[in-house]
Amino acid sequence: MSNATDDYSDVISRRRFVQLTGVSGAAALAGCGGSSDDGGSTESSDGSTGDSSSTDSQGGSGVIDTTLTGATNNGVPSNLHVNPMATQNYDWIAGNHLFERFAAYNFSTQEFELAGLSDWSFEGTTVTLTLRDDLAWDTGDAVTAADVILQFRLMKKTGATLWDFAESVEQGEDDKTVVINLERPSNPEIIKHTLANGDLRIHGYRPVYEEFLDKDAAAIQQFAWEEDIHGNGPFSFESKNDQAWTLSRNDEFYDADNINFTGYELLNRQDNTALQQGLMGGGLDVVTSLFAPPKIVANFPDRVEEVTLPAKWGYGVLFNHDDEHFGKRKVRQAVAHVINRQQVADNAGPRTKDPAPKVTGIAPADQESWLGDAYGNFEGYGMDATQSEKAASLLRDAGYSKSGGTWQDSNGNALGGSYVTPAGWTDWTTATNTVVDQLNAFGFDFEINSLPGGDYFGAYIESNFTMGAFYWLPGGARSSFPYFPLRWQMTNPDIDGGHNFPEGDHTVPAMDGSGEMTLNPLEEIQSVATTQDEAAVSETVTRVAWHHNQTLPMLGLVGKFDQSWLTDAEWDVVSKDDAARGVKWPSHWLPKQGKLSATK
Amino acid sequence: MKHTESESVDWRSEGSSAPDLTTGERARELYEERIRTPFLVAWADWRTRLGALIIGGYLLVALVAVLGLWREPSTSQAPRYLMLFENMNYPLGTTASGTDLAALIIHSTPDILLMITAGAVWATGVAVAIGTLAGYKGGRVDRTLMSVSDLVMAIPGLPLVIILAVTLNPENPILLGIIINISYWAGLGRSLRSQVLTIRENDYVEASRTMGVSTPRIIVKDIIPNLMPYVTVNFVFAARYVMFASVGLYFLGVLPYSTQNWGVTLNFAYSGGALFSWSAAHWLLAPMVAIMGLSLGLILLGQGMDRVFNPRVRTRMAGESKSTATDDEDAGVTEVL
Repeated sequence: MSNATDDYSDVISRRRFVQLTGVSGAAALAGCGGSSDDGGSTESSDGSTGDSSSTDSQGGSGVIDTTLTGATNNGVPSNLHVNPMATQNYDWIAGNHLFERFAAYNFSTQEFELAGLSDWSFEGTTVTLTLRDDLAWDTGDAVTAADVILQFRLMKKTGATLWDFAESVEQGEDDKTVVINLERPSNPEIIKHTLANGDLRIHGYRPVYEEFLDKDAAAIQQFAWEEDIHGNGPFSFESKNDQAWTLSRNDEFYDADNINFTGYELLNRQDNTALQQGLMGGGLDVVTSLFAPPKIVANFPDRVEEVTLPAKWGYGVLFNHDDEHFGKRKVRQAVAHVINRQQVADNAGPRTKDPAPKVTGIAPADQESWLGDAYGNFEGYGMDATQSEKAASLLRDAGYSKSGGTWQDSNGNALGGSYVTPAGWTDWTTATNTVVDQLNAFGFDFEINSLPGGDYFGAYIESNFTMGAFYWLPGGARSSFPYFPLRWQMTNPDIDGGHNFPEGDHTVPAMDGSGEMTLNPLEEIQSVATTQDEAAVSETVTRVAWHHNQTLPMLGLVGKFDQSWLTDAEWDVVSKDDAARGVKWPSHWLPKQGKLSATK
Repeated sequence: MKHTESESVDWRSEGSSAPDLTTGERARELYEERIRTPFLVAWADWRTRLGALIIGGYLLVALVAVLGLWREPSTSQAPRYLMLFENMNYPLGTTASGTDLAALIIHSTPDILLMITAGAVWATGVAVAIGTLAGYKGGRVDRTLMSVSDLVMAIPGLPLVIILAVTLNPENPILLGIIINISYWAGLGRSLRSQVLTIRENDYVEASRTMGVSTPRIIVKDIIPNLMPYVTVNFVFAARYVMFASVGLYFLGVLPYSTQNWGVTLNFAYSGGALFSWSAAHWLLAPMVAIMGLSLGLILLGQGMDRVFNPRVRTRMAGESKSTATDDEDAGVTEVL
């Protein structure tokens, strides 16, 4: 998984952690519960506040000498770096503070907001990006088209999504304009989502990155940017050590006036519990993303505010389409009828999980708006019920019979197998237990096979599974544009298409209920990328979603909400109804808007 | 273990010294010697009584699980977050996913008992074999076996177990018990060897040797019985270690969650916020009480069994001899626990 912002960052896989780090990891895990809440955090933050204030005394009038304390749970800062193109050990939480983004998607208004760009325009095969005039590196030098072009060219080496559509980049009419030439006319929504997605930042500082232009991709992917770090975001790099990243207010930032405090410290915290305790005890002012179950949220003091944002990601069921039983559409449909999605959501986290109202392959909140009038025709598969009768009749149609409480094929083999689930993702384990309990209660015969990180992905990549748990949306704002999830469920690049979904034409019942329709779902959805006619896009999306509803390349069960945390005891935080909270992440977005500031 | 003069006579040989017994008499004598007397001796101590009752309780619970007398744990089988004794159908309450906690505890018990027994049998079995052989044979055998023990002792135990557990992903409780105690025998074997070194010099061992009794027979008949108190106590230690280590490893997420275990329950309770909220505390407490109870039962039983194997206390309590010791209550109790 390459895109940290959109990843499953809310649960640390201890098992995987131990696997990767071996003995010291186990010791660290064993020790972190005790050491994390011993007050060390507050002391060290106080200590470094002094340091940063001395360097920042020239800050604008009204700047209060205080530090906002957040946390990183990506690892020990001394081992991390801020080169986003080297995904290993990149600390996206720190990186997001240091570098401005092109644009952001607001989940509240469902609109894009420009950040480092003052304009973007789409015309035929040309995308023109205009950088803000006042966007500058913290050295005082302007961020220019040349910086961005350098970055885009390096991104071509690393195979970034942008280059799925782009053919070349060049400078526009001035040094603040970048022109992206596309291979063919593309849907602006797709380009926008690509540019505003997750962690894509304007980070191509030429003095540092220029040398990589002549090297191959591996060089840039292994470059750990730890020295001479210059960003263009609201904060500048000061120092890092085992305990924390120390950042200071960037006077050169275009909206620096909105920031009335001198420092931002990101403490190193290793697991969810340490972060939860940090919020509980007051050691942390903000936490970018942290999963906290209801019982813990209920115990947070009043000063802690939760901001929930759709992750457009969530628990689903992956079928191996090469399996002799689960490769059959009717069997998959029977599974869909048996699973009670509401119950899965309630068990795994009633506050943060959102059952998909229908099984369409489109993110839960976006289904109705995209499918319009056709929405009612879609098969619901019983969101909050186990539809045993329907499931049984489908299985009987497919030639199976129930004997001794278990569904069997004509040879007497039980219908089931091992159900793969990732070890250590605790809420997923609960969801898996619920799903398997429901399936077995109906008469399937599944056994849970809990696998650690590498083995888990490995089992899918090698198609060595019958059925299992897998995220059914690629995650992030882009998942709200159905092109991404519908295509993703068929190709599933994260597992190299290990679910063996057959390419080519598929025949499904017609949408109006009479006869059948044949379509090539992958080809059809891919056409959306180059369609600029909204009506045509909508029609294609509906057809492919209908195909997914009938064929079930994957079974989407629940979407989830990310939980982001702010505290308002020592900070003025914008009111809960302010739409600015809808941008990921509030702890990044609000300070530069002047919507999270130190109290006078 | 202290060894006094009186201990140097093998108490097991007393009965068999009588000549010309019929089969019936022999059987009665065997029953008397091997079953009734040890039982009486053991039962005379409150620790054994309580320990046996507790362990018996766990065996009963395991039986309940095996015979299917209590429902299997399953998600959504009950309302979520029921408190302790709030609904008598679910006396221990329920978890965040509406799973009956009593069912979780009960259905984990058979595997835990199997696991700790397997681990303890493995650890003490290997230790006794290695320790007695090395101690009795001496020479090259001793040097080789002890070098191996030292080597195994030098490997850090927990990390080794973690690596093995992650690699093998064991779900079979017996295999799991053995893996957890994979290196436990080494230290125990070494201590047993030291014990054997003193015992082998005893007259009766010397006598057996001169009479040409085979080595295995000397080890089994003359040496091991004298080691039994030490072995029993360490058997209990090993069993407790397996339980604690497994719970810890499940809790850390090193062992596969697929298997039902008190450690898994603890982990879910912990990540579900049971540490911070009274309304979910039972979720954490139930497995903890189960773990502590079993541990207590094992300790008490271990303490009590010491009496059975300690000849001085045993004969006195069985009414076969009068002790001259004044401190009659605790004289025979090993204080290592």
